[in-house]
Amino acid sequence: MRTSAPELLPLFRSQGQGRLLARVYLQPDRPATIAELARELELDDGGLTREADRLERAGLVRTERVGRSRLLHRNEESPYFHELFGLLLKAFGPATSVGEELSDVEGVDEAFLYGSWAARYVGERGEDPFDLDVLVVGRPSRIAIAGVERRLSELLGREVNAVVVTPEEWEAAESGFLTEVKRRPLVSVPLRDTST
Amino acid sequence: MSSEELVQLVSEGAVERAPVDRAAASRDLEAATAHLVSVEARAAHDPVGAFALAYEAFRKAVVAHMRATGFRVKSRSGAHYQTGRYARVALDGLGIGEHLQAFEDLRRLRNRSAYEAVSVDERDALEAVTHARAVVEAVGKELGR
Repeated sequence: MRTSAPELLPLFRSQGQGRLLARVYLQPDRPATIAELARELELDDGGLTREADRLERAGLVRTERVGRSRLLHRNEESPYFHELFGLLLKAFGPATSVGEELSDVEGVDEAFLYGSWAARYVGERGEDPFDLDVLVVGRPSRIAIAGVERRLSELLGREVNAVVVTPEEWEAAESGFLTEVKRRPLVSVPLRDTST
Repeated sequence: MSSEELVQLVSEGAVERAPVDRAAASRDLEAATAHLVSVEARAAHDPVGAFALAYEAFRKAVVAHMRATGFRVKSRSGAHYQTGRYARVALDGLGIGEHLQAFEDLRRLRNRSAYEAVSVDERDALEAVTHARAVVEAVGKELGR
C-alpha cells in the first residue's frame, strides 16, 4: 500500500498510512477488520496488514481478535494519542466530520468535498487549502446547513463553505460551476444511514 | 446576563457603553414587529427579501435591548457579527438559547444570499422568522412592552 506522502500533511509515510490512522482514530465507534478497512480505503489487504503491524508495534493502534478477524482500535494509552488525534482531525478529518454533521440534517441525499482540499486529499500537489468546500445534494434547510458550516469551521479550524444543489441540478450539471466540480477531484462524504 | 462575559465584550472593543435610550429601543422593537408581519406576507413570492427582513427583525430586537441597557456595537467592520455575540451573552437568561444560536447562521446565510447568489426559499424565510419572533417577543417582554 506504499503511496506517496499525503499532500495535506506530509508527516505520514504514505497517504494510505494517514488515511488508515484517520479512519481508526476519528471513527472509534466503528471498529473495522483489516479486510473492511482495505475495501473502504481502497488499499490492498497485504500492505494494510503490514501497516497495521507497524502502527501496533509503535503503540499507536491495538488489535482485538474476534474469531479469525482482526479489529483495529486506536490506542488511547499512547503518549502520542492526543496530538496525533488533533493532527489527523485537521488533516484528514473533514470527510468524516462533515459526514457526521450532515447525517443529522434532514433532506441531505449525498455530499462531497471538492476544491483544493479534495485535490490535496487525492494527492494533487498545491498550496495548503485555506478553506473546505462542501457540495450538498438534496433539499435541506439552508439555515441548518449554515449551522453545519459554523460548527465545522470551529471544529476543523478552517473556513467551511457549503453549496447546496438539488438532485436534479447535480444530475444535469448544466451550470459551469457544477461541470467544473464534477471534472475535478471529488471526495465522497460517508453519511450515516438515519432511515432506521 | 453574564456580566463577566459582557465585560469581556466591552474590553475586547466589540461593544461599548452608550447612553440608555428607551425611546429608540421602542422604535426598533416596533420596526422589528412590523418586519415579522411582512415576512409572512412576502415569504411565498419573495423569499429572499422575506428572509432578509426576518434577519433584520432579529437584529433590531437585539439592538433594542442594547439601547435599553446602554450598549452599542462599535461602528466598524463585523458589527453584525458582534451583535450576535452580544445577543448570546446578554440575552442568555431569557430562555431562548436555541434561537440566539441561530443568529450567526442567519447572518451567514443572509450574507451569502446577498453577495454570493446563494438562494433561500420560502421554507428558509419561515424558519428564520420563527427565530426572529421568539427573540422579538422575549426582548419585548424583558423591556416591559
